[in-house]
Amino acid sequence: MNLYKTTLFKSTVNVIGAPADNDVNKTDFETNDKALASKVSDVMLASTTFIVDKTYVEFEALLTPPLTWADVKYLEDERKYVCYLLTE
Amino acid sequence: MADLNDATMDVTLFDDNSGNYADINTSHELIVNDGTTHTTLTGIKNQTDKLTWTGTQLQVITTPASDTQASIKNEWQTATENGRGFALTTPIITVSGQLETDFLLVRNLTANTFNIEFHSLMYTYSKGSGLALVKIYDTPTITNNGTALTPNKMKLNGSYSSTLTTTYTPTISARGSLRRVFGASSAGSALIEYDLGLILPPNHTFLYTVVPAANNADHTLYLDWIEQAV
Repeated sequence: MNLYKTTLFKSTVNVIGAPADNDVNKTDFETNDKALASKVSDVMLASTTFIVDKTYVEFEALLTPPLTWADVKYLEDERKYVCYLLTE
Repeated sequence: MADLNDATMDVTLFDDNSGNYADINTSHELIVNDGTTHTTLTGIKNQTDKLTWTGTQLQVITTPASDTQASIKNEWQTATENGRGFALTTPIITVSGQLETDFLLVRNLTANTFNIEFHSLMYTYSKGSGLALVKIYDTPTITNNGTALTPNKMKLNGSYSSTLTTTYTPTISARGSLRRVFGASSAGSALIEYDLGLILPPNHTFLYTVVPAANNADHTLYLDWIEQAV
């Protein structure tokens, strides 16, 4: 199984190499998608799971029916959101 | 001849003229018969009276309540007590990607009159199953110094401020000579103790870089040091 993930920084202060479109994507997530996704406190990996880092644009492109933002889990801390999508 | 090990015998010592010079009685007391004031022996006795001999000949030293033991401080403790010890911690900095990243710049400017003697360094990072690295270079070529970072006093009310110039997230065109590499495996921290053995003289610069073990990991560096006049 693959666990796709993308990271959105709440602020890019003291972030080295943050994507140029981070702020736009963060606003899009907070405005349109966050309420649909499920906030979780931790993500545990099975031994057969691969983690695949994606840009936010790439991550959103994965969400084609039947996958939607409702299938997305996200972690939130004071600095960032990390969104996860688990697929077969 | 008298047996000196026989506690029941009274031993008399004679000088060259067969004069009675000293006695050791059965109580193991030394009695000197030279007619002098015994100043030295009295002093010795005063000291040896502090010793107690147990049945197994184990020596017990009794320290009078009026005596105080002088505290012995090392160079680090002495300098910090005198207000010459300093420390800095970078903000938590997230590195997107896993390439080597210029992190912290420590400059002892030419006009400074202090050697910087490093005491310890701690590197902390948030995640990654591999080995995250910190690399230390000297004499980098600097394009931009980055964001200023003010060192803290180890003695909060110390009289002096640090003379070291420190900045984080600098822009570097050439990193210079690699001096040391160390790593921390998995998320956690690594402590390097220099014990004042790493010295940055005036007109020298250290560059610290990090090589993340995971994408979007958080990193901090902590340094402490003392400043000694050149």
